[in-house]
Amino acid sequence: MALKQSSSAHSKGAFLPDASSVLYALLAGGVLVFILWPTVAILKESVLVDGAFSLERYRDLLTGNRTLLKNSLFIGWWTTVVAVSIGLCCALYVTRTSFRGKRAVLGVLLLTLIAPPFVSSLSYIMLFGRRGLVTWRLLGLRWNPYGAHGIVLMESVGLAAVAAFLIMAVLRGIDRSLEQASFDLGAGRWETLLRVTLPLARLGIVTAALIVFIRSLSDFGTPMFIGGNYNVLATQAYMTAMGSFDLPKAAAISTLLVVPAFFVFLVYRKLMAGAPLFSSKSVASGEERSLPGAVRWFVFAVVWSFVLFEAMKYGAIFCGAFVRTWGVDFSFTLHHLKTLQLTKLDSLLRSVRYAFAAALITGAMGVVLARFLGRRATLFSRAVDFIADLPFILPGPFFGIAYLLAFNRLPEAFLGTGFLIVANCVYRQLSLGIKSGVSVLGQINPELEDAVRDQGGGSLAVLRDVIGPLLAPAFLVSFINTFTFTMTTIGGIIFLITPYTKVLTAEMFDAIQSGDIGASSVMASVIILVAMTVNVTFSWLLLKRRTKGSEAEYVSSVGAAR
Amino acid sequence: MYLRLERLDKKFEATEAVRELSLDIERGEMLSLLGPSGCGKTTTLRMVGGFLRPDGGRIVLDGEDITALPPERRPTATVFQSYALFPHMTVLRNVIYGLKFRKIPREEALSAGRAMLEKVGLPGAGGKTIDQLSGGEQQRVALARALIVRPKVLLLDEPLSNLDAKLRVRMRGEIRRLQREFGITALYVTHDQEEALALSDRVAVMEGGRIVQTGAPQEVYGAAANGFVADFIGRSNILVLEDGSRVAVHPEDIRLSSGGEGIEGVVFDRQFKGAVVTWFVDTGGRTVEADVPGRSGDAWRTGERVRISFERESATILRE
Repeated sequence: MALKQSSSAHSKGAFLPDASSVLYALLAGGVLVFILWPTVAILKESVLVDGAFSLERYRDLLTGNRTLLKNSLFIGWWTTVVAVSIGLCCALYVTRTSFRGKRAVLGVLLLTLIAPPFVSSLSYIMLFGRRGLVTWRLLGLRWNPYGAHGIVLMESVGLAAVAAFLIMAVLRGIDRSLEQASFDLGAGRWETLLRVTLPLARLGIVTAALIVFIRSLSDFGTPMFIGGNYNVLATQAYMTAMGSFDLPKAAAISTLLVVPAFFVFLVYRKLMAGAPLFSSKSVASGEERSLPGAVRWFVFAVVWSFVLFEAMKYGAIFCGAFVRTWGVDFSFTLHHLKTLQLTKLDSLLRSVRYAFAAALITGAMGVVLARFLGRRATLFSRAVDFIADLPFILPGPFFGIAYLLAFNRLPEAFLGTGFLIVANCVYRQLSLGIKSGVSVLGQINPELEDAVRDQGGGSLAVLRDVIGPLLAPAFLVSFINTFTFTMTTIGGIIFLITPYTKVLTAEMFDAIQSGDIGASSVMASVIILVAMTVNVTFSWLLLKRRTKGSEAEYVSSVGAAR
Repeated sequence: MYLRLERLDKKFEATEAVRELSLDIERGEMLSLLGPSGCGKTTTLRMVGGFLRPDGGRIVLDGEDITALPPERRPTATVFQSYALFPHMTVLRNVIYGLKFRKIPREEALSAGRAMLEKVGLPGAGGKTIDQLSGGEQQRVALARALIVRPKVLLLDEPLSNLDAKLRVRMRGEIRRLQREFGITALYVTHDQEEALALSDRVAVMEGGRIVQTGAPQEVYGAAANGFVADFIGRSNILVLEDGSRVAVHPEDIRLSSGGEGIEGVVFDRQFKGAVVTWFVDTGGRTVEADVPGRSGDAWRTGERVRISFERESATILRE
């Protein structure tokens, strides 16, 4: 009765020391400076022509670049259809069938999730290129691999994992007794799937589709490497910024990419508002053979084709790292590994260092902000929460170019420290950090804090003995996520890299561009290996702490969050 | 007086949760705050524990004004409704948690903790984690944690509401036993009248942020101060006598007979409850419930006419 009222009375800040208000102001200020300000800067740049407001650039874009726009939408549409279909099949396979091999499917999905996005392009060239292992060596085909079909194929398999985890989380959250009620009332498996299960998962499927769509729109690597003459908006933005240094135009192009992203954002927030990352809700579980026979076998076929394709994709890359010249001379060599050690070791270490820094900062900031935002329901706090959520959905190039425009006056020596790269990654992943914090905090019984004080502990003891230890899982999830992201991303930070802050993904990007398959493969393998090691180690730490909940549940909570 | 609440006021935005509440509790006494949800009983308890600051009034404990003290500096200990056991600590570490703020050496604390676990009936459970315990066992750990810091007042916030009926009855006996054994002063919040009557020295019935009646369980049950108390404590039949006065009579004090003196009524239902049978009698639009001991569920048939009577002294005359 009075419990609720009193905990709200508690939260008025009567017991919060002043130091925490200062900390809150600093963290909220960071959100404004590193998210809001760059976003404003890029929007401003795109509409200023010779110092005056003008929509000229957008008019030019919409009239002069019709083809680019059409291509982007074409790729985005088909990638979404294919990726969501594969993702839905994987999600049904894991949650609604009794087939074996679920761990293998989850493993491949996780691998796809943590591999650098443009790895797909590399293995496409290796497998299906002009000298591709499959197309040329095995089938002896002479075909032109470059074009829209390759982009759609590789983007789809790359993004299927994102869709799969999102849909899986939603399917897991459905109370199975609803499906059982449907069977009980005489509905068959088809009716239950089409009228109960899928409608209940609708919001998850829609969100997955929207996220895949904007990821596809903002991907410039895949079209650049395997698109041939087929050009899209994102590639154009990259070329305009990095090739011809026309930042205002690049700003306008990437802003165009934000329009669909913003709609995604609204749906995403709506979805996440009702879906805790750490679910404590116990839902009735049930017999898993609830799919119609035809659907089961269709799902089986799609999932295993996908898994085999992915295995081939990563297999090619790992092999490519140890053969002399892919497609010509398949003899074993450690040459590429040695070259990496000699010339790219600095970049590798830098990547790891940045990733650790970003992960620590995001983890800590996320849980602290979660505590503040959860306790203060003011308009300002709601605004901070909203702004902190934005970068999750903003296309990488948009956020990268925004940083370039907002912080281009910082001294060169300072930029050499990698500060902007780390900040870019931190603020792109902060929303997940906050979300996992809020989700865990929401499940901490407020009476636990009262119990500490009742027993004689002050507010410091509350933090040390209760909030801190209980928030550790939220910190770890955020840490793993940000580490992986920083280790593998390129879209946003490529605009911020200087000769002194080159990271391994950037080296790899250059190596693919110059066609050095051996070097690219070895770098891709190393990146995957490092990210995998950190994921496995820290997930183990996380699972050790958690008494309830299964591995699969954890994997899908992390996956869905990303 | 050992614990004195003086004219306590507490508002949450527009709603007045507690109004001008005064209450005295003697040393070693167990007093229950009893009332329906929303009556302000938990708010009162939380003000005594220090989790809420009263808007007006004073709280004096053992001669010391503690109104302004934060919870960590009050000589009170609470058994929370959710038990609030720390899920990431073992049972023993939960029990001795408060001792570290009292600068008690670790070894000493550990042995005190084990001894306390024995007293609450959980010997050897110290190494378990909280989620390995049943609800009743968690309740015992919460009691141990509160008792070990030797509080001047033990506060219990609906401690049995998460247990099933049978366990509730057993645990309330346990709580009473421990309270007597430690000779501790206790303030017990509950909405369950049977619980309040069974385990307290005195009961304070609350309604709308005020105390409407304080007294020994027998007094509160036998002589309700008004219609609200009569209705809330036990079940009561409100009857209107020939002279227009209203009285409250408990169902077990109602006698049914086929003829003779009394108010006339028609039996329309019965419920078999084991020790008694409850008869539902319609007396011209007003339902009267009568508990008749024994298992004779066939003494009357539905539709049969009966007479209702009761002893004058078993009836409470209601004013207003």
